[in-house]
Amino acid sequence: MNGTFFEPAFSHVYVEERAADLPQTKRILQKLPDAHVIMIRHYKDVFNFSGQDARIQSRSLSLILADEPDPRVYRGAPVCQDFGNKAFYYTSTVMNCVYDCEYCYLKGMYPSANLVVFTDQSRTFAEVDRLLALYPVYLCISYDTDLAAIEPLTGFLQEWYAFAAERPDLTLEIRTKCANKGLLSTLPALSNAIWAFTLSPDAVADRYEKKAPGLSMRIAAARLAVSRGIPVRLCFDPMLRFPGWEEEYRKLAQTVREAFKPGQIRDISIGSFRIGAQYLGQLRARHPDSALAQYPYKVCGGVAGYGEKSREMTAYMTGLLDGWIGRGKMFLWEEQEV
Amino acid sequence: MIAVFTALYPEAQQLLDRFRKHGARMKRLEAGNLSVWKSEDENFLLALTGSGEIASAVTTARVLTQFPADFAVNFGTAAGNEPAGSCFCIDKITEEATERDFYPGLEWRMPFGERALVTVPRVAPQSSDSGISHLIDMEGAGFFQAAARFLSPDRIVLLKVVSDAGNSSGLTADDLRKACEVAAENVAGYLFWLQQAADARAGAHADAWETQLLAKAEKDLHGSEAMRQQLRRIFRWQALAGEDPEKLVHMLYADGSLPASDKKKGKEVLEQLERDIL
Repeated sequence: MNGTFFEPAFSHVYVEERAADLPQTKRILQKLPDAHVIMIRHYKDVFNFSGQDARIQSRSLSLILADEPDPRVYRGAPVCQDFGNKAFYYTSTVMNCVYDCEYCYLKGMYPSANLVVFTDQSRTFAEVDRLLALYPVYLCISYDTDLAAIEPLTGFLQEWYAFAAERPDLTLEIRTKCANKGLLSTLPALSNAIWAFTLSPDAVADRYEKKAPGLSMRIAAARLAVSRGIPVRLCFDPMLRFPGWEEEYRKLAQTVREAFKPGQIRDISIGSFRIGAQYLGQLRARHPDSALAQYPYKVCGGVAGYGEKSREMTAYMTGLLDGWIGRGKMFLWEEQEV
Repeated sequence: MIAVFTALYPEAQQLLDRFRKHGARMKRLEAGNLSVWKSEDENFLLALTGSGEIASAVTTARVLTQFPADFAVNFGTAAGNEPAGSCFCIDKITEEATERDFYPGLEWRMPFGERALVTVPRVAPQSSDSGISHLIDMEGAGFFQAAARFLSPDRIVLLKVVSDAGNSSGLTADDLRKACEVAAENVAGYLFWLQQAADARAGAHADAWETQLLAKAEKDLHGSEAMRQQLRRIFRWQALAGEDPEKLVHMLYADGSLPASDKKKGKEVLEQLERDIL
């Protein structure tokens, strides 16, 4: 569809009445001076309304600013890699992602493509402090969104960095496809804040991650992070299966091996595409014309994936990177773990 | 098709005239006790709902059941502290009786300014200096709730023309006609644009891979419904991945895999296919 049919992203901002007076809400609104603001009673009145067409919404994202009374800290899901951490949690202070990658589980999880930002993170910080009193915590803060991509709007990473700097028992993981060098240049290099860059072959990035920076930009950003002493994880996850996938992932491994010395990388993760079976139906409805969404996946233990071919893909990528980085630094997701 | 709903004929009259002026030949339909006009090219339909939420909801539901539409548009007059004849798109509807709020989608471009709307059960004169910024009508919430049973919120549009400040007692048909006359040209232009958007939307959702041959192959698998769906999924994936599923089907018939003699054989064919092509 022609882009001129649609309003620009964030042309409309819905603001919960109880969030309207929060300083964080006002700070975000100041950054969108041309946006039309609509006051709402509860974010779910807009976000959860039945029958939304998320495919159309993704062409013109609206922003919803809300105040969540409960802390948004959750135990990591079985389909996520815990990197050997027992107290493995994630936060969800933002729901949905501006990158709109075609395979993303968020499309199956949420009824809307619009972005919800819970502007006040203080209750989430308090909950993390409560957990830290019990044990060291490994916390993924960029799972249900890409926080780095919207940092100019929210300033949330700055807040997390200030929080983590004083809590050595807290380890943050910032999963991202963002290549914002300005951000990486200004944030301090905290040893307990890991930047986990998702790397995909050009063929995947061009076709399925259209709104995200391309591979070369992500690698350049990761190199900058490395040069500043920021802990960097490289994520070859999700690996996708398509005609010629082996060659594309071989080229990706080659590019990575040339771009980084193994000692510069904290660790890597490898995993094939998988998604909760109940989310797959939604994903397919939203992308009826996507080969990726319509692939005949195998469902096992409530998770849809490539079945026995998953192991083949993981082994292939492991083989490509073996010898460059030690096995002890490789974290693999394999289907039978779920 | 764009389905337009107005409460009263004086509100519809100007729009019908503009449709005709722009070449959409609107013809009145014989549709029971419904007052409905449809263009010969089937791009536009206009229905009178009568006044009030229930009348609006019932007619909207009846019409959308009988005439599936790409977009549903509620066009009509409302009270508000704005110059008479100014037209607004509604971004929020509050149903006064229940205090529930509804939000039409705002993804498609809109040439009109935006206002909130409060739908009331009966007209109650407002003070002209009350300072309210929202508009007031008697149909919007009913229309939206009915239309939302058929269409996603981005395909539900409410356009309201200010007729008065809410302090007039007894608006005449001529008052409504005059208010709508000012806005009718712009609204008609917008509706023609919306029809183009509907065409683009329909094109984006088209599903062109299904053929008779593929349907025959699904039947000749002699499998369960789940197996047929599995085969269908493979065909669909192949088409989207740039392969021709019909080639695969020809091969299956050529090597005797299809038609399968029974369900067991069909299952073997399916398993072999998955091993070979996925």
